[in-house]
Amino acid sequence: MRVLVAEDSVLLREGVVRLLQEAGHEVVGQAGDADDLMRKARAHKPDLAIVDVRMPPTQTDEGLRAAKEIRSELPEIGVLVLSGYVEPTYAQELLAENAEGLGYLLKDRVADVDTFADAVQRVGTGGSALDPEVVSLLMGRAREDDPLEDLTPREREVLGLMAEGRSNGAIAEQLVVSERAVEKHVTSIFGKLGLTASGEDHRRVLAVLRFLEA
Amino acid sequence: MRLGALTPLQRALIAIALLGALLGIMVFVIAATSEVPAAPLLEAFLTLLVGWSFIGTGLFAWDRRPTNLIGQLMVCVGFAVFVAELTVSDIPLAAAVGFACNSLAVVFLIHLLIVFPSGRTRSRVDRFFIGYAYIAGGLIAGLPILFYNPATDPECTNCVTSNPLLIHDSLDFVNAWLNGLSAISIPVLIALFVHLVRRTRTADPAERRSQEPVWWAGGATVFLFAATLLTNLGPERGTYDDVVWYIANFVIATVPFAFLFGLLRTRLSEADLVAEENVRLDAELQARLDDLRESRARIVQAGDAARRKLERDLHDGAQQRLVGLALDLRLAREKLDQDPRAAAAMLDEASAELSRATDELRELARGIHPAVLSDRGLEAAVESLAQRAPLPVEIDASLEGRLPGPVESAAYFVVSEALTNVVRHSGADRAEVGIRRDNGRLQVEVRDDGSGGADPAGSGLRGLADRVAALDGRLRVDDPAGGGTIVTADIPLDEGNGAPA
Repeated sequence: MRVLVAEDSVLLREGVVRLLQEAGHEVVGQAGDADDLMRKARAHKPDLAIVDVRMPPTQTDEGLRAAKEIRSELPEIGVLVLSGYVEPTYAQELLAENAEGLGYLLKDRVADVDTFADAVQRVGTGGSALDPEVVSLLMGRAREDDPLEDLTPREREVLGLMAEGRSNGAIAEQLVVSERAVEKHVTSIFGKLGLTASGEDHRRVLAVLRFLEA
Repeated sequence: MRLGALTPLQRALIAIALLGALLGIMVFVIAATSEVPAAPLLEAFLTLLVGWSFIGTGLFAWDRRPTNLIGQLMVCVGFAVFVAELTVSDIPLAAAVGFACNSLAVVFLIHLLIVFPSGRTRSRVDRFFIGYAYIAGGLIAGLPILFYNPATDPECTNCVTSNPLLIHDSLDFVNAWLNGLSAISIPVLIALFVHLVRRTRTADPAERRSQEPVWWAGGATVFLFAATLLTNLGPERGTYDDVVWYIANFVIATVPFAFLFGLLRTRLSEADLVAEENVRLDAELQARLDDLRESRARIVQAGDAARRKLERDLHDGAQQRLVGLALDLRLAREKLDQDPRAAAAMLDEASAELSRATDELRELARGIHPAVLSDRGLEAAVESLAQRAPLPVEIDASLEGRLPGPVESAAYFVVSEALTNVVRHSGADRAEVGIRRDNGRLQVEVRDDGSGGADPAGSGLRGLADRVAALDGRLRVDDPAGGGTIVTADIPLDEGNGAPA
């Protein structure tokens, strides 16, 4: 997979690049700020851009804005946004229309090599990756008449993994159950929450998130 | 917090009011429980009425016209009335003090009458009468107590049997002294009366109008003084005392209201108005300055405390974890050759510990200043707070665009602290946050359905109040009747707070 890395901290950028190379990906460019990122994205048309939210010159959210720009201008590029902190607001902004080829992860996840590699793979191939922390914030929000109370603990686990953007196969592997069992859980969850099931994982992510945000 | 709105003068006036209330009740109890037969309850009650009337109206006048002596004189009359009532006490010392100060109320009244409504004397004649009143009523009328022994006074059947202030027993001297005083004072009082009448007749219509209600008071005062001299102190003591006293007291109780009415009706001269306004503004300014100084000191202290807490959190948290990690890594390195499996387990543990350290650091950074607030503004930041709150929080926000940074921060921390309090203390099931812009001001409200009783003086809310006050805003904490607590911040969105001009 051809990857572009935009991260202003050299230490972290080189770490990410090394991780990607060890996982067999090709790093086609490195950028230190949002303008650089846009230029290289247009030039290299990578499969995936990994983008830090905070970058020079303002150190606020230019990475996030660049990510949105890439998604509207170059929709074929997957975008994996890395952030030093999680805010469901940012996830909502990024996912507003479409979760296809989009990831939003806490920077710390980079250290969890397998999870990170898995997210890179998913987002680079049109899937989604949402940080477990965002998902747990969304699911953990205190509600009156919480509809999630109707779910069994196992169903909640499955719902969380769905929201992270995992496929049924990946969920089955993680929970050490058969894929068939996961499908049954998914059907039951959608029934209890009144959601319409959808084939593709990234559409499923969107449906679940919309439900959780409501 | 609300007390901070009072000027130092107003605080002093409140203290005087409390003192007056207390003294009145004390004197009433002394009079009502006195075993001296000449102390009927009705008289004690009348005294209370008169004293409180003067003190109350006097304080009101004092507050309204702080530069004018009138209010202070009225308060003095009230207190003097209470002291004079001590004459009926069966406690010898109290009774003696009462006798010694018996005429003070009348003295203050005469002073009041002469300087009304400006509070200033206008001529040497004015000053003469005032001087005479203080010397004759305050000093000379009080002196005979030193020579009066009730035990040897055959006419004193209704009073205590001893006088602790007695230095020499001479009833004849006392009678002669008081008779002499009366003989001089009555003509002086008549002269005063004439003086006042003449002054009024030559006054301009506006001034005359302001004096009208006071004539009523003046007449009553002169009547009372004459009655005091003739009945209480004179040789015919006891004959008409009761009737004269009751009538006089009823009349006197109306006097302070007449004064107050006259004073408030008085149109102040331009210069007086400016002076009054200046005094008022000065007092307000001083009060504000005091508040400001206090709140600045608290803000500095709060800043120090926050830094200390931060230092502790970093030191006890992340730093300890990192030191531990360094040790773990060193141990894992040593195990690497002999026991690679154990080394791997230790490395796993180390990376888990590392991730806990970063979680902690992230939370710490968030507490200092949430990035979402500067990146996305108040609504998003409050939404994020609500998401993390352990109870349902409903947000009703209608802001368009961003607010000035300092306002956003203050409002955010109001919501954050208020929600923390809700979770910690109120036992509430849910909370509501309202944020709206109204008339160039930002209004933030956090409401819960808990048990109420939030302490506005608690350090968290106090700090918030300072923070809001620094932006010229106000923080209120209410416990409405229906239960729960409402914390409201009202912050102006003006240039001083970083809003565009």
